[in-house]
Order: sequence, then structure tokens, then C-alpha cells
Amino acid sequence: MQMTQTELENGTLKVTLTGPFDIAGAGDVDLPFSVIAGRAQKVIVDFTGVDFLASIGVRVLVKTAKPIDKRGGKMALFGVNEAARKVLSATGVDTLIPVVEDEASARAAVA
Amino acid sequence: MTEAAGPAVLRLGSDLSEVARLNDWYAGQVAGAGVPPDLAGDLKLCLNEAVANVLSYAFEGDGATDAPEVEVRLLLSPYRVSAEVIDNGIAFDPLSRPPAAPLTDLASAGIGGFGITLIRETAADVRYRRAEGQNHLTMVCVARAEAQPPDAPR
Repeated sequence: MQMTQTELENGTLKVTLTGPFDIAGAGDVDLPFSVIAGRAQKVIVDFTGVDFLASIGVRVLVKTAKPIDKRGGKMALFGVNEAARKVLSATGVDTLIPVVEDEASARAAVA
Repeated sequence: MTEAAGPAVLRLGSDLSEVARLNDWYAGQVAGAGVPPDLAGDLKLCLNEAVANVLSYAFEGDGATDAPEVEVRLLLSPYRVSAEVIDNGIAFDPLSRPPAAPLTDLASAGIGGFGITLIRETAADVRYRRAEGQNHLTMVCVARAEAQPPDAPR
């Protein structure tokens, strides 16, 4: 799984993921997400290129969001396909990490 | 048809990296059987969760075998797909686990235990049995109603 990070204005970090967020994918992004969890305050994650989400990916997202939340920051997801939305909804994680339609909504959600 | 020919079978090693090989094989099997993407994705999720659990936990701790065997059997049709995961690891019935408590906030949220929830929520039917020292977990997914022809068997 590929990850790119883009610093947007007013301190928002945009993380773009591409590929399956399965065991191999989670292994690829676990470390960079740990770094983000340790320092970022406003994070938006672009899921447009994520074609598969398994529980290991949900685990990485929750593990990242927890310390950000503890510091009073926010994380939101956008561009999430229907199957991945079902995964986030079945696990209840969409009640803790906002899942919104597009980048503008995600930026508003973490502002 | 795949059903008439019996299940497609893949044997896996006990390393977690085997899930990648499983997914490659699975993609070929569902394409060959004409399984629509939504339905193929549902069973792929169930399989990933079940196999990840087996490879992570079934061969560790007291009483675990030092000769791990894991096998996946698929029966595929365009409207109904099933996967049976068989392993000779420690006896474990995922259905015996109580459903996960609802998440209320990030501070108290655990980071694990989502896999079994996903199998329960995604599969139309899940069955477990222990026989002759093996765990058998069978998961069935069916096409969503709107994708089925009016006379399709349910």
C-alpha cells in the first residue's frame, strides 16, 4: 500500500492511501501512521484509492486517532468506497472517526 | 461449474504473509466463477479475517501443534459463495466470543477484536465445528437481494 502525506494550510495533514488496506497494506503504513499519531493535530485521510479494508486496517486507523483525540486534535476520512464504509459501520468506528464525502467536508470536520 | 467440480482448495503455510497468497489465489477463483465484485468482496473480507485469526493465534501457546496445517475450500457461484477454513491449531470457536461492546469514544476504544465482528456482520451464515483435531469455520455470503434474479434459490 502506498502512502503520501501533504501539508495543507492551517496545519492540516492530508494522508493519501492507495491499495488494499489488508495485512500487507497495514504493515506498509503502520510505522508512518505511528509518527503521524505522535505529532499531527488535524489529519484527513483520502481513501479514494483504497479498494479493500480489513480489520487490521481499522485497527491502524483507531490506533492513530486515539492519541490525536487525546491531544484535542481530529482525524476524518473521505472518499471511502461502499465496502469500506460497511466495515467502518459494522465495527462502529464511523461513530468515532468521521467518514465524510469529499476533501472539503473532511477539512471542515477537522478544522 | 465450480460447484459441480467440488471445492477449489488452497493449502497455506502458517506465516501471516500467506494472506497475500490467499488473496491472489482468491481473485483468480472468483473471476473464473463469475462472482460479482460486491459478493466477492464480502467473502474476501470474511476469509481475510478468519485466516488472519488462525495464523495469528491457532499455533501459539500450550498444546499447539508444531506441524501447522491450514486449508481453504471455496464453493463459488454468482449468487452464493462459501469458504471453509480448516486448521489443526488450538480449538477455537469464534462464535463463542460475545459480540463486541458498542464503541462510545476514542479514549476508551480498544484497537482490536474487530475481525470476528466483521465476519458476523458480513456473512449470511457462519458455522463452526471441531472434528478430529481440526477447526472448521464455514462462512457463506449471498448476493444482495437486488442483484439476484427473481427465481434464484436463497
